[in-house]
Amino acid sequence: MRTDVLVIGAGPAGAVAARVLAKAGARALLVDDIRDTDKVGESLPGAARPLLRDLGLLPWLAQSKPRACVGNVSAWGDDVLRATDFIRDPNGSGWHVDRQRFEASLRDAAQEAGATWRTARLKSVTRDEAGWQVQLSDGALCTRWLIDASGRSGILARKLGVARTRDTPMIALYAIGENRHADERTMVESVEDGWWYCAPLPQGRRIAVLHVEASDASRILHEPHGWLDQLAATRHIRLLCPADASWCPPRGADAGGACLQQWSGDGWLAVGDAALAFDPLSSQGMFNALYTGLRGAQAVMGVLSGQPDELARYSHQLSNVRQTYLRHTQYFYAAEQRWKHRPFWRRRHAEATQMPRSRLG
Amino acid sequence: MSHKHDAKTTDIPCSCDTDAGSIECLQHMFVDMVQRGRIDKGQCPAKRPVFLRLHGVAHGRFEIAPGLSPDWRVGIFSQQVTYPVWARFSSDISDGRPDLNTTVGLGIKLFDVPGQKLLPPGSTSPTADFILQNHDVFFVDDARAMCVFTKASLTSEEEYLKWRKENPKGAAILDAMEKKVPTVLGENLWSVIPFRFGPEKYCKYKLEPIAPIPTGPNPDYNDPNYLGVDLQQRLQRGEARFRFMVQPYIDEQKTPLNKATDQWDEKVSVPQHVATLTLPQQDIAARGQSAYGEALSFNPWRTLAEHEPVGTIADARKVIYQASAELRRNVNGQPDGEPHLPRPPAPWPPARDTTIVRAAIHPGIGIARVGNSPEGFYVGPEVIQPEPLSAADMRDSTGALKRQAALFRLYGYNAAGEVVAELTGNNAKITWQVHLANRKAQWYQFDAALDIPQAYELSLPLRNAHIKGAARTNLAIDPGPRHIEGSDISGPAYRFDSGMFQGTKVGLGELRTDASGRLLVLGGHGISASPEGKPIYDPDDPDTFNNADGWYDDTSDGPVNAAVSIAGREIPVDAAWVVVAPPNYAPDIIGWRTLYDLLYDAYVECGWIAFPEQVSFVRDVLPALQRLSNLQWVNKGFAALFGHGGQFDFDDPQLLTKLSHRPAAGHPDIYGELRRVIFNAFRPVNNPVAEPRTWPWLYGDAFGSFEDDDPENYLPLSPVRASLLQRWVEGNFDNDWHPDYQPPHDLSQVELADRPAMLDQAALHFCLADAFHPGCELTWPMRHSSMYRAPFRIRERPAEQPVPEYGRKLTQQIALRPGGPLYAQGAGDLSRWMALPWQGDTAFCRSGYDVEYDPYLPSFWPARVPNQVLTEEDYAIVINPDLAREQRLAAFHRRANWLRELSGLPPAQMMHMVEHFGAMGIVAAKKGVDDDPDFPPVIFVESVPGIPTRTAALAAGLDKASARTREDRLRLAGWENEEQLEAFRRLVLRKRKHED
Repeated sequence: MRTDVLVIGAGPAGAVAARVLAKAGARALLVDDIRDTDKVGESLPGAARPLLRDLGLLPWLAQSKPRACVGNVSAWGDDVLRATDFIRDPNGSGWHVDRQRFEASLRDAAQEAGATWRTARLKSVTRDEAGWQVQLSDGALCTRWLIDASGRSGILARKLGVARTRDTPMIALYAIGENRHADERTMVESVEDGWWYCAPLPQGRRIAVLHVEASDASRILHEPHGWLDQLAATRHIRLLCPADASWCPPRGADAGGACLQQWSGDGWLAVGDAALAFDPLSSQGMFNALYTGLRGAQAVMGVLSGQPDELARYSHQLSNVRQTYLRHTQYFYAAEQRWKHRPFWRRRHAEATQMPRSRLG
Repeated sequence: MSHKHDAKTTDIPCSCDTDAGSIECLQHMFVDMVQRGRIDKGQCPAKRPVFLRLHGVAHGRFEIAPGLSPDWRVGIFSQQVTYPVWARFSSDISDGRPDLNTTVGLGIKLFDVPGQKLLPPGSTSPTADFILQNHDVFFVDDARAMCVFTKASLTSEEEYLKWRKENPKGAAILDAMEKKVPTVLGENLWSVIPFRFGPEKYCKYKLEPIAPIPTGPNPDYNDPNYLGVDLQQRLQRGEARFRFMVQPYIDEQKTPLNKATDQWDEKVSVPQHVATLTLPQQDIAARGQSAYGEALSFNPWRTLAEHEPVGTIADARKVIYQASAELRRNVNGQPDGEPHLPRPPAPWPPARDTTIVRAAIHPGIGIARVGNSPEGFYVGPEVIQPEPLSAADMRDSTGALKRQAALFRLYGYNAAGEVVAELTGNNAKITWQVHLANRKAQWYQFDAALDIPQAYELSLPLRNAHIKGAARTNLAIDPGPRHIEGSDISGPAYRFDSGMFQGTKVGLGELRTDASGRLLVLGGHGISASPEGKPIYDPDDPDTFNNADGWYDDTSDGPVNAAVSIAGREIPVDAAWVVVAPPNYAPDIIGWRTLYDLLYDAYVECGWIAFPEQVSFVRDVLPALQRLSNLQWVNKGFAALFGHGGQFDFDDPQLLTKLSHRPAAGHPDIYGELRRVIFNAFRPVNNPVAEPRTWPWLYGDAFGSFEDDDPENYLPLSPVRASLLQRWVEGNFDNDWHPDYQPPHDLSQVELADRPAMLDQAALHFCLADAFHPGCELTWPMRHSSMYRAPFRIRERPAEQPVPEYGRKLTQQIALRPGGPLYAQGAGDLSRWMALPWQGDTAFCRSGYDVEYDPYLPSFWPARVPNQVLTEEDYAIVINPDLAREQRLAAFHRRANWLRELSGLPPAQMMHMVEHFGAMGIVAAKKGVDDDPDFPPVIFVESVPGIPTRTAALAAGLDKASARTREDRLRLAGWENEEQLEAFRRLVLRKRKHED
């Protein structure tokens, strides 16, 4: 079988890319092997609203029944809780989404636009004059373009041998429990060996996540109540997330920032976490997935219709995003000085000073 | 005796050849002609024919001097020791003429005087009268001469002048009787006519003031009623005492009995002090007091036989005074007779006219604020120092911000303009009407305040200029007016939900009523958007800053009216205005200059509010100083000088005691130099030089749009404020401050009469007016008196008049012309000048995405403190009494300089992160440390973003004054290096616009 673009990974980035491609008239095939597990990452800032609107995705978002998020509260740098209100943002409130439903909704939207979607795994890719010969777990196909939307695992990029820069590794230990508090805002609290956040989820649930060094992560997971003990030791988070038995067993996920050294190549392009992965502190992961899904797909359409410059523009854009993200990240981690001798903070402060200073002006 | 006649007749009977005939003639002239003539012309109430100008009526006592020898113990002076009295001060001048240069008279009525009196029919009444005037002789000798004089003065001016020529002595006395009297309480008074003093002797009376007379301000001779005003003021401050003296008759040469023009020389016949008249401290304007005295009758014949009046003038007075009293009382419907008991001196409660003839809505300008809580709201402040709001008061349980509702009340006024009562659903029928609209997108761009001299070349284009003609009506969100009546009413019918912006529905809020039928105005939910997806800011066109085409927001403003009827009777209502503004993040911190100050100054300058006669330290001086100390929580520069422990800590009671000390006359002014130093530290009015170092260290209107060295860059004192402070420097002020002063925290603690003004002030007290860029709630047009028809009453354009237009460009000339946009206002006209959208200030932070989609704030979760404040950690140290004092002091003085951590960022991004980064917390007041010289009793521990952080740059300018290296100074102010500071200045200082 033949297609124009094969999108590997059906998360937000892949689904958006497939939809944009399909609307532009290309044949788009979306593949993924979806596992029915809770993914971490639920915050969509109000900045996503114009993106979603232009993509025609606001009704699809609504269909997934997200919760509105009116702002954040954080204790960072000191233990005073401070609020950021999204009423101050011209784009207004953000959302806390149910990832499974949100992604399912986006896939529905891609299909509504004419993309095809099927459950399968990528096994191999081979370049040829027409494009690519692809071996999936359920068959072979030819495609002119590949889009890597496979998230942090970056399957395609790995297969193509494209290097990935990893920032200081960080693990997110997350658990989902019952929502016991009416506050709709994301709460963030820095602690001695990392930092917490919690957020309400649709359907009466709440997620709590602890971000730590990899070594600490294994230790905490192996202790019988390791994660709960850490939760009980917080000052603010525990007031919204009581450290009791209502939480499902915590799981770990890679949460460090990362970046491909090359975002596109001959016949391929990366979007979403596969291209740029973000420290969750930025709350930028899903936003970037939507954005790169759109811009990546547009770049591919450009190339397919004879405008190769589009790829360079796409790469340039991602480069800006990455540079700005690094600066912001280093700033925020530097803002927390209370535990600067602890490994978690010391490493992130050190990473900051190693970052090349950009020109002023 | 009033010689200026105002009753003319050619038919005057002439039978002046006999005494009896003269008296009859005089009665005819005084009572029938003069008094009756005035009554016929409508004089109401009817008054005496002479000494009719009332200055005041006072109660008192007449105490016989102790130790009087038997010779002087005659009649009244032999009986009681103390008699209650009522006294009437007057002048002999007719209505409509001023008090100056008139003859002053005093009638004293004694009570509890037993014995037969000489004046039937009230011979058994227990009263006795004394009548005196402030000259010791009369201008005619007897009744016959009086008749001739009176006839001459009533006939014609010519006749009167002829009389003067023929009677030089009398004329001279008449002239001498027109004295310039500073106060009636300082005048010597004489009976003029003689009296018996027992069966064989005679005398005259004299009344001498006993020093010191009660104090009072200098008389204002230009006031036609100055003597009455003076009498009231002095008796309010203290009691007046007089020596009542008897001047004995000696013989017909030295002390003639029937030659009233001859003086009884007081060295020859020495008056004897027989009694003391005391008028205690009192308010002569108390209810009923004047009316009581006016209705009394004073007659020299109303006395014991021992004090019989002597002479033909006395005989004439007996008849005439009685006749005129009878006529007066008959006309007025007052009983003709003597009181049996004196009126009690204790004052009655003041009269209140409780008939409401008009009502007014207060506050005149009410402020509501948007919020993203769907249903939650709180009522905006009704006093200037309410209990501090906690964060929980302002947010609902989901963490969303509640809307601030503007609460409007109705007050009923009587004909005298006094507040009678608040009108609610319980005592009136009220129908409210409010019209909200948002005309921002239809109006001109904001660049700078148009009324400053530097703006004379500005020419501002319209927003959404590409939309022309009739299509521009779609740029205004106008749902029209809504009505509401009843109590606890709300619902869809009262929502401003039909307004549209280019075909998109935009809700502007709703009306509700509370349990008493008062009006609550709620605004929008803070939703801003561009239906067509236009960008909020184009970095290549700086004019789009605060002027986003294709965008709307849901702020608004408009008139608030009410139709009120009481018991079926409609009464006129003074309308108000409501403004829906963005949220206020620092409700406990007041800007240095509030919108109330600005408006108050405007009203004083145009004469609607009188410049205060007396400068009050608490009202007029203290705010300008204390607000500098309030800003210590915002900026390290303020903290160092004005903060706790700083040299000018205006919260320090010791400093305030010195500054409020009013120098007493004759004592050295020990703090005068201190006051002068402080006054000179303020930036002067009309400062020709840009002077950042003078106070306050805040930006003025021109900053950011014009030249670097423009003096308008920095905020000066207003001319009114400067005048008030000048008086304070000179020592001319009321010291009404004391360390225990507690302001009201709720409207119920304010006197009813003061509530309307307090509501007007409180609403605007929390609105900023330091610099208009364009500001937060309202902007520069509000300082123009043409916008108002009365203080705090916006001049409303009638609904039937079309919305005026002013052409493609707005210039200073067009903006300021009479009948222009600063004149009559319609719904949406106050808020149209503000930033669009109001959140546009945040439009600078970039995350690297392309312009179409770049988030307006970095999406990072942690909020950051935008300026230098006391952290929670340090606060805990400060209030912990177990820690070492040095440690606590260090914690208190520590300020986290977070700007240092922004090294390495492009300055443009950095500057805007500085300005608008997160940390939009609500300020909370926390308990500090009591009774400690180094720590204040209340400490604010959260961030204060309301004041622009451009003050950091200004502080850099400040530090130039000290002798450090430039690098150090920059770092102190929070700048990484010169380049960062320059980039900030370049971005903020935009070029002046050129005309197209």
